[in-house]
Amino acid sequence: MRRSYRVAAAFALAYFAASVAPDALIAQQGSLAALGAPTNPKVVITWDRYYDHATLGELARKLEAAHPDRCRVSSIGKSIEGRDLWLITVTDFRTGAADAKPAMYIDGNIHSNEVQGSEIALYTAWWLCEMAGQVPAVDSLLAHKTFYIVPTINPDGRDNFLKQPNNPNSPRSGLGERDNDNDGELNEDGYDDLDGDGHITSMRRRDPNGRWITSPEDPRYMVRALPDQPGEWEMLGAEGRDNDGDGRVNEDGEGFYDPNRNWPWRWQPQYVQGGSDAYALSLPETRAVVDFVMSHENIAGAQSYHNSGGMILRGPGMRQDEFRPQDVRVFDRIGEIGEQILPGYRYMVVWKDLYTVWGGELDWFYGSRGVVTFSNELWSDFGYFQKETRRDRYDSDEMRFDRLLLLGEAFVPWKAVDHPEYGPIEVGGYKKQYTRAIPAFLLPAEAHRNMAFTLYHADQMPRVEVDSVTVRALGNGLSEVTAIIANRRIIPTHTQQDLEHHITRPDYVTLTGRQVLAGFRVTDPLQNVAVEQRRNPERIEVDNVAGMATETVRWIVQGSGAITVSVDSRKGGVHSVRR
Amino acid sequence: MTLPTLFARIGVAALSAACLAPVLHAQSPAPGYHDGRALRAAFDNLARQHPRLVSVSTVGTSAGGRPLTLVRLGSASDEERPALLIIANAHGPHVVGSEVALRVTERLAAAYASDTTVRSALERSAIYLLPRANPDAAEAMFTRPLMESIRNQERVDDDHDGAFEEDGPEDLDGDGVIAMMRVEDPAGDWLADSADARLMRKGDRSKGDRGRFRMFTEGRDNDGDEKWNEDPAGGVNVGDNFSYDYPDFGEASGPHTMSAAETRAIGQVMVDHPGIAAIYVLGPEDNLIKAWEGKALPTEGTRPGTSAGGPLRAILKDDEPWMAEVARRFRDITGIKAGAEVPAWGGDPLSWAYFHVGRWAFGSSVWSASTSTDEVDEKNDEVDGVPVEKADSTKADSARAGGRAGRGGGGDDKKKDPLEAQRKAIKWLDRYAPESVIAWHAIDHPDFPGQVVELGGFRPYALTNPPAAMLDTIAAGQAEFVKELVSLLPAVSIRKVRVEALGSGLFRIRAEIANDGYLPSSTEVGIRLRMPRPVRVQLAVPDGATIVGGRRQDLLEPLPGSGAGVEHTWLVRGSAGSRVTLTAQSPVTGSATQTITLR
Repeated sequence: MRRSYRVAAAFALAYFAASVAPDALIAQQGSLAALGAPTNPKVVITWDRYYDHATLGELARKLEAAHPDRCRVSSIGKSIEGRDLWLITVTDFRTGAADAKPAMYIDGNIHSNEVQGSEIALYTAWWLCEMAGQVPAVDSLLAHKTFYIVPTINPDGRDNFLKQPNNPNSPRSGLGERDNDNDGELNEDGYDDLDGDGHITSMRRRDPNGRWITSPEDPRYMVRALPDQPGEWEMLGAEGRDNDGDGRVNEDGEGFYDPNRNWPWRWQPQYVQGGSDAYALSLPETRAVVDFVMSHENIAGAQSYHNSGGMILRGPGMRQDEFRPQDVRVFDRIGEIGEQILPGYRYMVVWKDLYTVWGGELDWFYGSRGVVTFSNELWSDFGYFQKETRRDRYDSDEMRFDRLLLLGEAFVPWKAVDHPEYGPIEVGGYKKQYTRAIPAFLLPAEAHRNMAFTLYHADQMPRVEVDSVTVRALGNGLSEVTAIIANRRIIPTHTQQDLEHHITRPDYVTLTGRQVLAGFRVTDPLQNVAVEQRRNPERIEVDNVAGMATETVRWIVQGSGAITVSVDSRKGGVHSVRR
Repeated sequence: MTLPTLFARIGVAALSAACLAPVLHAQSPAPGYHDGRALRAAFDNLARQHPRLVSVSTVGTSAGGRPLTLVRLGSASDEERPALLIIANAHGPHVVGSEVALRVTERLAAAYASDTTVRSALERSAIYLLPRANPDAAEAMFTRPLMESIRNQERVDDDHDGAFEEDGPEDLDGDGVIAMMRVEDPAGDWLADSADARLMRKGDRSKGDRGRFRMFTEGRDNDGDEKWNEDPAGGVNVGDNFSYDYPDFGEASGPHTMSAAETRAIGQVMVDHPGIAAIYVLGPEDNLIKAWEGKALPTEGTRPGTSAGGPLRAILKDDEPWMAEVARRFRDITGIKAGAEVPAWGGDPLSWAYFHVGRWAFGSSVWSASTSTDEVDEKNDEVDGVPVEKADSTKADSARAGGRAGRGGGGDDKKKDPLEAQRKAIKWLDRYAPESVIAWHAIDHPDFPGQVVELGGFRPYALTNPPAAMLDTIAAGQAEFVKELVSLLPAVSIRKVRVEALGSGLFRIRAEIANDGYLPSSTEVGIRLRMPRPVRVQLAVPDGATIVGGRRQDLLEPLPGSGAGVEHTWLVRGSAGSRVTLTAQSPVTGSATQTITLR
């Protein structure tokens, strides 16, 4: 282990020396680099905006062109409207095939309006590529691990959110057409941007019998009148009209289904789980991810970015399911570190601490594939003033933050419009980029902290090594070879869920160089208890190498000459030692 | 594959050609049964003969690249009319379902010209058929060596050893059949049945039974792991891959639910054909011999069928009487009163049809050697003595039913002697299909040097697929039932239309929207599912007239069956003598329209 660490470190230093020296940078740029950012990025990306699908793809291609040894871009499938689901594979391709290393799968934006997950994912790809050679730990990470990053697994919804009139909550659904009101028509009555400003805000109408008033603290803010207080306004819901003349407003807009309820683990129909859609895996985007993960058994960790609420979530999604206790200890440790990295975030269990979810993505990853998976709800009210939120009768942190830090940019001021059914009304309210998406100056910080959490998670994916090989002569030309296989990280090569359901094949420990007469798994090294493996004794099958633990194997071999012991783990990587 | 599973599934189709009437392919290993090409050709042929009644399309592709065929039977081509969907052969070895589906189509198409019931049913409604929902698996019946397969051709590493399909069965004695294999070994759990020494019974050591044999399917341990035939070719049983009570990590149930392209294609059929009001599944699960029992939901605590309560565990009480009545009619019409009674074991299309797509769902196992009374009148005392034999030979002894205890299998009678069904089956087969019982015969087996190894048992497919000569008779009864079922579908109508002139050009219109079909327009579970779509009532008025009371468009609560109706009222201002149009429509009920004159 020490040797390989030195190799990695030496390699990192060599690379570092070959790139631009830091002093030169200061001289060149007339600046001293602040820490934690690439000093001389080959691809410059500004993290103060939300990129549409085409631009995400372009940026990924630029990264690939600038870092051909560390970044490759492909597509894992198409969305309903035919957009590619871009996959950015980041690893050090010179140290081994991406698919042979333990891999972290990262996606974002499964809900159309939860856009910043894509920026966090792209930031991760960018930062890893650009920091290689600058920080040895990054080199080591890329030498041993692979990152499969799909910035958006819902590109249709993303582009709709960015380019069409929307509010912070719309659309949540993907864009497959559905008949939400069951009248036989599809998407016939969605929101309408009555004032043409690109935002779907609220509608209000002056009405002495209404039960709403404006706040004396901030006249933009609508407040319910007290029970004994006369009102001034009537609130009429989100901007829109009755497009199909059925007497209802906005009852059948984009979608609706919930892409995060469509996964084939504990999928349940509409009456148990709203939005699950007609059948499990009905959505091409879900299928593309499932197909990708099924064909990449090296994925040992997964992260999905949502918004909002400041949560590091793990499953199960429902009371009726169970995570194995051995695995929970692993989740707990990573979650605990996550709470340090992400102030204001809480590590939570979906069903217990949030709400019940059937057919969710993170449950599929763990339940069906045995992968240690988190889902982060990015950004929360904590972010406004770096403390627990305060909401009083006439004001809120959201409004205060808008006034004091954004100088009112987050709110579309009320303005008069003529409504075809309601007559003269006013529309106004938060822009779609506010409350759930993150204000510009905080976005890089949010991206970096979440990435750091995921890098920690990725680093803790199993890393198996041949720890030692000892040879003892038995006489008659026979030798006993004992190898200790170590997992240097917290996550086991097979989670308990994986072990119990035989999801991933065993780890193989192979001896070459001498003729193997017998092979054993040493089940108790202290008492020297061993179980013989009669079939293929040269390749011992080890069910699991637990986190920060070792497994011992033994052979009786004949002959002389150098011995090579190799370990080949689907989720723990490959390593060999020659003796 | 575990031994009891295979043992339970061993059945036969290879029958002596002599006793079979219409032999389709002289060369076919399963005379009288249709392989994939022949089945498709037969439907294509029907479509050519009845171009305005029968159409054939492809709605998906199996893992092995075979087309998933959808057949439509109905004289009107639009989607917005009530329909019945028949799903056959999702469970690979249940090939008889495909044969029934074909013959039912043939019979109804032929009867269309002369039978007024059939004609009006096929004018008003449609029948969709997925005659072979697991085409890869079914092909095993037409391949040598003959073995039952439940799997599509997806490559799966069944024993999770990193190698794919490295240890399947072999035909060791060259007879073209994968039989059962028993190995004499006192460590084995199995012994010969005392009633019929050809049958194998799992011993109970606590009762003093000493096992004499280990049981396997015929084959070698190809990969030397001391397991036999544990990773055969193929992957997923479509009939186990559906989402209701899906058996996670089950044998051949797939890596997760709806993983198979075939299963998803069937899910999509339900989306693309919203008129499907009822589903009839031909497969091992049967709720017609014994109807499903409903369960009232608890009035307090966490209720099943909600987010907190999770899945429903039984059908809803309000749906029970309707389904029981259909089951009663099935038994009357077909005379089938005994057979497989697996209520639904999870992952199957029948429970999915009810619980996950909310439709009226019926399933028939069609035939079983253990309960067949056909052509055995003179032997009634032997075969038919027990009134209704509940254990099904294909399941009662199976690891599948046992291995899933507490999942969907529910009511399977555990106390019954599992061999009872096999004893009956073997008597029936001895008499009517003696080739279906392979006498135990010794072979030399390289994996068991010095041990007695014998091959024998039921031939594949024999227990659930009848001799082909019986198919026409069986299908005749099934066709009568399908004819009945399609005539029971919901049918919307408008009745009791009344117009009152209230003066000054104001009119009150009253009408009842009714369901003239037998079945309610939705199951109770369908109401919770918001599927199928409710009846939409629309009143269209001419220019100059306005609706001043009531809604231009309304979506109705589901209508109970057998003529139940609900009254609607509108107030319309318009000139006397002008005409308004009232329409009531939904995909599962069809539509009704009336033009009403204001006066």
